[in-house]
Amino acid sequence: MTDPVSQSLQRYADRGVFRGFRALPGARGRVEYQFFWLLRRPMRAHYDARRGVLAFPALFPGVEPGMSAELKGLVAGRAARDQPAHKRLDARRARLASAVRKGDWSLMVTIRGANHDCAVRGALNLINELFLALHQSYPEYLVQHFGLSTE
Amino acid sequence: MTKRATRNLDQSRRNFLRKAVAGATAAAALTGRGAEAAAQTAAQLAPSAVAPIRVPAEFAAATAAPPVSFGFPMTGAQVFARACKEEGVAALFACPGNYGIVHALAASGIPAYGGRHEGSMAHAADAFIRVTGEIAVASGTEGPGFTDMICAIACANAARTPLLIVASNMSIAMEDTEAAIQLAYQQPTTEGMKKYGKRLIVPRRVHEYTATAFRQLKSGVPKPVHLDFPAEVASARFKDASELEFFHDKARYRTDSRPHPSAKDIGTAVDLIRKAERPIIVSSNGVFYARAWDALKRLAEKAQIPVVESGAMKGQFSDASPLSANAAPAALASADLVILVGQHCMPTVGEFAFGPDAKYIRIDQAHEDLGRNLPIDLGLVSCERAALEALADAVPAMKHDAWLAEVAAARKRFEDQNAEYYKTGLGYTDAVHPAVIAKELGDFLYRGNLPREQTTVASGGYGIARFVRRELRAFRPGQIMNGAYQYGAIGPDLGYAVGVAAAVQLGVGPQAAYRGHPIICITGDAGFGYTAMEIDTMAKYKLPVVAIVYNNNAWGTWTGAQSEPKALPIHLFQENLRYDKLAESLGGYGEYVTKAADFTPALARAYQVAAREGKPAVINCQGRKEFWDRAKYPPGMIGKIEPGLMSYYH
Repeated sequence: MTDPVSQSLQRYADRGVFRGFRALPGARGRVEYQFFWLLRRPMRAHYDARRGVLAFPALFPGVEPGMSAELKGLVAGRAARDQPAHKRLDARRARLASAVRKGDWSLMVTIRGANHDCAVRGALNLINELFLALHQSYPEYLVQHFGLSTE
Repeated sequence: MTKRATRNLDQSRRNFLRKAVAGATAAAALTGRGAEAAAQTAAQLAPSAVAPIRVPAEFAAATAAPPVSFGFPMTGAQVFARACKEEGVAALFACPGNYGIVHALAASGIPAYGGRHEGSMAHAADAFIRVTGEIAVASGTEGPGFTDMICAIACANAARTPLLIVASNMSIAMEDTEAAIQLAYQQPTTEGMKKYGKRLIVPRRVHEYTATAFRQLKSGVPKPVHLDFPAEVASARFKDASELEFFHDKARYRTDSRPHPSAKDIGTAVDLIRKAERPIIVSSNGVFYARAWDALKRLAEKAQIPVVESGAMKGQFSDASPLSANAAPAALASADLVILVGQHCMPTVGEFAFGPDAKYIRIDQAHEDLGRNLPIDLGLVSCERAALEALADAVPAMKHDAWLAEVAAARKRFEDQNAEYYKTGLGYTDAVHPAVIAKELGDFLYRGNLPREQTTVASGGYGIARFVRRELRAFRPGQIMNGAYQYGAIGPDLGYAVGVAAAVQLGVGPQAAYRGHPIICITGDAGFGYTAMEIDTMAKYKLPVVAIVYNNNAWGTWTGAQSEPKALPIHLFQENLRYDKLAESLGGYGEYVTKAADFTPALARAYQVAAREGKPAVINCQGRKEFWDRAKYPPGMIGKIEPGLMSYYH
């Protein structure tokens, strides 16, 4: 794949951050991604170049309401001015949004202009921190849905 | 006293008791209190006539007995013991068995501790090493004594502990016969759990293999070494050195030389550090065993690089430093350069909190391990101390003010979260919440009357650990022994406490300045059950352990079985068990705490008893299993972020 989002994601695979990275053509011109990263469950994403949207559908399946609100707060905080500069994702470059559908929590990044690398980096760093929040406060959820050890 | 006289005395005592009980019963009946009161009175009377728990005089005699310097003629066991003594083996933990070896080690003057279970004693040896950096020996008898140690060997292997395991093992002459009892093939049993192992089969090579054992224990990345001794080897007799192979001084069979980093690698590392905006150092086991804490401090302070710890022990970098990131988990994901030093047990991607853009430098002695699990940007083969010294010399003085401010903010957020947990915990009045134990233990150890660097901690438990780890701090090397590290065994905690307390009692290595002080052991009721009999060991050796037992009537795993009525009892104990009484019955001191307000006073009393009398104490903290249920009792069971205070996986 030659689009800038695929290339950006491929670089993480090349560095060994992702394992088993695959980028395949999907429906309606989208690119579908599958890879292993933070836990043993495969992660899925797709990029719609026409709309400039990189989505991580059902990133967290079967979320509880309290957990969902906490995750949403972390997403919203990413654009806040009190974030350190290296963590802040300027809405003029990329806009983050989350949604819950049938209990599954998804993350979307709408990329503005040629800020693909910045958007991918921002999204991945955010996802890492979302997982950390779950590790800290909802370990049993990760046991149930991501195969984390109960020990 | 003759047998007859003894019998008469017994009869006389029995008669006295019988009369006393009968009298009390009659008196109670007369006063109308009934049989229950009479029984109670009898029970009160009876103990006064029972001999008190006491430590046999032989313990004091053993302490007073002079050590033996072995010289020819020697047995194989004595050859081994002599080499151990010359290598500076700092302690022996054992149960009876493997007699020739154990007796020779003890006779040589190596401090010897005998316990109630070989597994506990091997855990004790592991813990001793983890807080001193010195070699200790664990011994068990052939067959069951040896296999009792397996969990401990596995724990030590996962924790990369240089533990010397020895066990007797039948005789070569009767190999494979099942003559008598206790035949076991030991070396295959420890496969995958050791750095080196050998069944010694040629008596005249006993010194040669002992040398090999120490060469393995004292080089590279440590792990357990296992020697099994058939009777022919332990009891062989040697008239002089000519009857032994390779019998020479340790200076000739091993070296203290260590690999040093290449100038090119140091240059590349300095370049990466200079370009980084948010570098962080992960300090682990290798820094401790290389005694590299001064070099670590020099590098961190010169280049203003925060340090976070992981590993089987903590304290190589003081939590008093503003550069400590142990209690700043929210900052870890921001690091753009991670310098892993002596992190022998490597996490896979995602197990440490660092973000996807972080670069990694890994410093380790094991060339063959660099690049495993976590892809590296620079692998630096070196002794940890040599590398840190070289980096501290080569790196320019740097400032990372914005990064340090982010770490400080994350630390404050973490402390605020702890305070919130504590406040929530205090609100639960029908039992003691773990957040209360955690916070008030931290207050007692670090913010009260004790010097904060004084108390060494054996950190164990399962659910309770998730709260207590957040409050434990280390201000000097060897202050925290991270019990569950990597192998995650629940249960060794009281065994670990024996080893930690012995290390402090003897003042070995970094414990020298804190010699004789009480130690703290954290455990749960599940863990306590495995090794509680070692309270006897603590009492007889006057090891002042204050064991805090979080008693929630259940294994921490019960929440996963809530919807499994047939399976749920597997996870449960009897409720309100009196572990404090058990401690008292074994010669220790007991406290039973059922309300939050009573915890700190009980801790203070237990600590005083431990300090004053050299006595173990158990504080039985009555919790409730439902505290792990977030819906009913927020915050419920909490998790962890690694590396840092909470880490025990890697």
